[in-house]
Amino acid sequence: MWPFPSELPQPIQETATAGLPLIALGRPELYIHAHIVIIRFARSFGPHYEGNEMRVHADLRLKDVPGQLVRALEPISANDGNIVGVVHHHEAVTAGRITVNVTFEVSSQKSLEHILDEWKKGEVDVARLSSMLETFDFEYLLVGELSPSDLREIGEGIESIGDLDSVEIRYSVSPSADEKAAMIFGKMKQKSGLGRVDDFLRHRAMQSGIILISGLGE
Amino acid sequence: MDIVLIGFGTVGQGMAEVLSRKGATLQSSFREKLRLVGVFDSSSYEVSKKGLDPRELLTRKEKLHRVGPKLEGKSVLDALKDIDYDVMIEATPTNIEDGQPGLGHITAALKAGKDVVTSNKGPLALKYGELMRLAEKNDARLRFEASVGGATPIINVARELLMGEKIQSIRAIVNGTCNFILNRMMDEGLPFDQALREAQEMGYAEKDPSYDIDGIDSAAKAAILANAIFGRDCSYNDVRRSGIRGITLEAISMAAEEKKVIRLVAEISPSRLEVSPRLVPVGHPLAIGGTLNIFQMMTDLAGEVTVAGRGAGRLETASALLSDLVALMKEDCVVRRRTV
Ligand SMILES: NC(=O)c1ccc[n+]([C@@H]2O[C@H](COP(=O)([O-])OP(=O)(O)OC[C@H]3O[C@@H](n4cnc5c(N)ncnc54)[C@H](OP(=O)(O)O)[C@@H]3O)[C@@H](O)[C@H]2O)c1
Repeated sequence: MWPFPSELPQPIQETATAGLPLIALGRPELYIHAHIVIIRFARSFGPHYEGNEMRVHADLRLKDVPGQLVRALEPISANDGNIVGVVHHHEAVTAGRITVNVTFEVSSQKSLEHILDEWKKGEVDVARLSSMLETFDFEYLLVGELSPSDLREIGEGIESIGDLDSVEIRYSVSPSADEKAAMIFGKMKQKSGLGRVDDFLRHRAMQSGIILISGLGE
Repeated sequence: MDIVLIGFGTVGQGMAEVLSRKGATLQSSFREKLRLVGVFDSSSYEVSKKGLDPRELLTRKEKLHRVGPKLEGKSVLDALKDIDYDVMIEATPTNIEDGQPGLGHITAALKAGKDVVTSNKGPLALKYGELMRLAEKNDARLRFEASVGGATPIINVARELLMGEKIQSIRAIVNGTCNFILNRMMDEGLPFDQALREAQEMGYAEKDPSYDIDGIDSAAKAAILANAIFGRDCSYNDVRRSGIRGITLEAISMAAEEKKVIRLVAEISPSRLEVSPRLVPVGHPLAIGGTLNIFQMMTDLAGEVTVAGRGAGRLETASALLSDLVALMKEDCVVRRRTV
């Protein structure tokens, strides 16, 4: 259990520094930024998470002789990678090498490691490497009689669906109306998870007479 | 081509005006006489084998609130039996409970092998499959461009111009009143009730606004699109529906903070048939303002195809009826040429 604004000492002070956590309580994190409360159920998995598409950006430095590009790209396809884009910088030759930016998707950390091994053997110089898990965004706006504890339950409900990368709920602390609006932003690690979030929220909205406004999706 | 017009309200009168303005041009283009041989409103009718003058009918309706002699207990269906016509234009009020009286009129025409052009959503949103089968059985044609999107062409665009495409989904804004209300709330900070009153005062919304704001009108249109474009045999009651009643200013401003607007969107695809408020990014075609209607189709070859235009109005809706009438004349022209 973690405190919600209703359980915090009143009045809530505004933070002077935008985006800086006023109260950081581990997981989920609670931020109060001006009059907006942000609850973040975040899990950041590194690129070691298996079973999820990973998008990799690599800056390669290749010898400026024919056949080098093929040598650099072959290991990607050979390891079930999917090349998304290649940018060749012919004009910038330093120490006899040219820079090539490659973006590709791989299905596991293992595949990425194989590719890196083969580059090493093939004398492909990796200047920079960054990777990102592919995630699927969802967003909703809820309108109706929503108490902080309702929102907590909703956040926990989404969290329990599985395949969640992160979810954030934002709502205003203005005490004026019973009718509240809350934004939910989230990321799923699998596309199929989006349908489950949708089902959960629809069910929840119907049960408690909340208006559910969903994003347009892709 | 002899026409009988049922319903002489906003749309019916618009159609009379259009016939008087465009009749001569059409007759010369298609080398076919275009005659209005019968007109009905709820209490009266007028017939003439030689053809009625649309201008005269408009003047009479304005003066007497009738188009002709009273029906005097005679039903439209009975009166129809005595009229020799080729095409029925049906423009009586939409009834989403049982589709009447339009359903009865359209059924009678199709059974008699007459072509029908209509702007009436009720019969199509409730009994689409039955009506289409009836038309086919009797070798009659049923066209209904005006029932969805007012002047904005969507059904004929999707079914005729994009015939070779696989249309994967349609997202659309089909109710100008809701769009107007949501816009006024956002632009002027008006609360929902006030924006609704304004829409009523400006003549956009009905006295009973539920038809618009509870998504009933949009759902009827979504059902028609699902049937006509996705080959479904569904009814208005199969559409998952929620409206815009209860959307607060706070919700609108929260969306605005994220550079989004709220729109009542109809979404139709093989797996989805729904009308609901959605978060639409500012600058997205569906973030369209005013009372316009917009349709965004996702197709397999052409990609995204978007059409927008006026969703209602006297001449606007008549323009869609006219497009169907012209399509019939064109088809007849081709048939005539082949048989010569
Ligand atoms: N208005 C638009 O912009 C628009 C746009 C798209 C589609 N539509 C659809 O087009 C249709 C007509 O709309 P509208 O705006 O023209 O409606 P309207 O102004 O209410 O006119 C309806 C007409 O139908 C007549 N009528 C009613 N019951 C009848 C019956 N049992 N038999 C014969 N006539 C009958 C009325 O007679 P009285 O004159 O005697 O009352 C009136 O002339 C509706 O289905 C509507 O949903 C309208």
